[in-house]
Amino acid sequence: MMMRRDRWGAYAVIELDASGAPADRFLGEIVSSGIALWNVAVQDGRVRLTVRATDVRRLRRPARAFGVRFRVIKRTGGTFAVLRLLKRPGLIIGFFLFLFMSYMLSNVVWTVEVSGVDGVKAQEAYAAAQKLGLVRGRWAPNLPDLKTLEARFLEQLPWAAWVGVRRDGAIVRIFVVPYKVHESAEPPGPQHLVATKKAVVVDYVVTRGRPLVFRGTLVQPGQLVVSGFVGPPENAKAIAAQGHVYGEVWYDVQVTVPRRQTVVTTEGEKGTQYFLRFGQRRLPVWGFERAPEGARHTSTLRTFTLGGFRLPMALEIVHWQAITEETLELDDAGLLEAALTLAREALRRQGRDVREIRSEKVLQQTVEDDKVLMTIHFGVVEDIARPEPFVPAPEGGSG
Amino acid sequence: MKRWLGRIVQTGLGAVEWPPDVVSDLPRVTTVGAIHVYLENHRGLSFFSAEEIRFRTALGELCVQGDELVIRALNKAEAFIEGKIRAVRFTA
Repeated sequence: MMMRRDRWGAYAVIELDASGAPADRFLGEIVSSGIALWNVAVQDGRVRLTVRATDVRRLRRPARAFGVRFRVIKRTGGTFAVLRLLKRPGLIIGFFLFLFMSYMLSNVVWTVEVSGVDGVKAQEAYAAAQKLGLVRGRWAPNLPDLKTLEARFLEQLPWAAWVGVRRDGAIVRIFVVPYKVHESAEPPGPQHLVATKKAVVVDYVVTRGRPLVFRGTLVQPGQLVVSGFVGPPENAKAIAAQGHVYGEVWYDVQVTVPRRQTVVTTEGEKGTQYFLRFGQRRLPVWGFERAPEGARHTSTLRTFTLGGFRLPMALEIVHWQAITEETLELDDAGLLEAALTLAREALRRQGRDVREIRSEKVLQQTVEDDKVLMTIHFGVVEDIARPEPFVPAPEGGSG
Repeated sequence: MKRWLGRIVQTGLGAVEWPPDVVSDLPRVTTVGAIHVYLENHRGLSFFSAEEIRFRTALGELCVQGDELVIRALNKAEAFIEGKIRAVRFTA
C-alpha cells in the first residue's frame, strides 16, 4: 500500500514559500513526475510536506520553473540521526573513552586472592605474589603467562604441592595445595600396653606384641597386659605393642526421672510460605495460610545473581510448624523403664568406648509420688589398653 | 474510432463482469467514515487548501471538501486524504 513508508529511510520536511495557485501547480507537477509526497498540509499560510531526502534535489528544477522557493526544515530518519550524532563529538569521544577505560581497568590487577591455605601459609603465598609482581595496579597483559607464574610460585613456596593461578579480569586467584603432612606416619617408639582400670579381660586383639593376659584374667589399673618385648627372653626385641584388650568393667549409675514429663511435638499443622524479599520488605507470593500462634519458623533465603551481580531481590521460603506441648504422666512400670533407658544413655554419654553392656542390675529404687530414684550397676565391655612407652634396657627383659 | 473502441470495452466488461476500475481508467474513491478518503487513479492535483482539495480524474474533477484537510500520502496515481470530510463531489 502506498501509505507504508520505509521506516529506516531518510526524509526531509520542506516548506514552500508560496501558497495558492503556484503551489498547487508546483505540487501537481512534481507528483506527476513521480515524486511521492506525504503529510501535505497548509500551516500558517504555507504548504508543508515531507519528501524522500533523495528527492529534494529533484525538486530544484521544477521549483525554479514555477517560481516557487522552498527550504528544508527538518530531516528525519536513521541516516540523519547518525549524522546528527556525529556532529556532537563529545558524546562519541565520551563513549569511546568509556569503552577504553573499562578495557583498561579490567586489565589491571585489582585484587589478589589466595585460597586453599590460611594463616601463615596464606601470608607466605601473598608475600610470594607480591614478589612475583602480582600487586594492585599492575598492568595484567604484561604479566608472565599463568603457567610460568605457577612454576615460580612453586619455587617460592617449598611446602606447596601445586599452585594454580587464574586471572578473572581484575582479580587474580591463586589456589595453593600444600603437601599433606602425615604426623602419624612415624612409627612409635617401643611401648607396652597397660590396663587403664580394674577389669576382667573378655577378649583381646593384639596386632603387635606379646599378650600377658587371658580371658578371665582380673587386671588392676596400670598392670601390663601386652608386652613390647618379643622373641626369646635372652634375646628379646623391643617393639611398639599394639592392639586392643577388652575387659568388663563396672559402673554404678544413679538417675532420677520425674513422673510428669513435658514433650514438645511437631505433629500439628505445618506449611510453607513463599515471599519475594526486597531489602526489608517482603511480598507474599504463595502460601497464604497463616501460621498459628507460637509456631516455629525456619526461613531460607535464596538470592538471584545475574551475570555476577546479586539482584536486590530474593526468594524467601518459610516453613512453619505448629508446636504442641504434651505432658506425659508415667505409671510406675513406665517410670522404671524410662529410668533404665536414661541410665543406659548416661553410661554411653560419658565418652567411653562402650562396646557392650554385659549386665545391668538395679541396686536400689525408690518410687516417690513425683519421681523415681534408681541406682543401677552395669557391667560394660570396654577397651582397657593404653600404650605406655619404655626405654629398652640393653639386656632386655620380660614383663 | 476511439468512441467505438470504448463501446466495445464497455460491452465486453459487461459480459465478463470485471470491475470497471480494474480495466478502465476510472477513479476509485474509498472513504472511511468521514475521516479518510482514499483515491486511486487520479491524474494530478489541481487545487490544495485546508478546506478543499481537487484532483483531476478521467471523469473530470473530484472535489473533497472539509476542514483541516491533510494529504497524508500522494503519488502519481494514488492519494490518501485525512481530515474532517464534509463532501466528495465530481464536477465536470
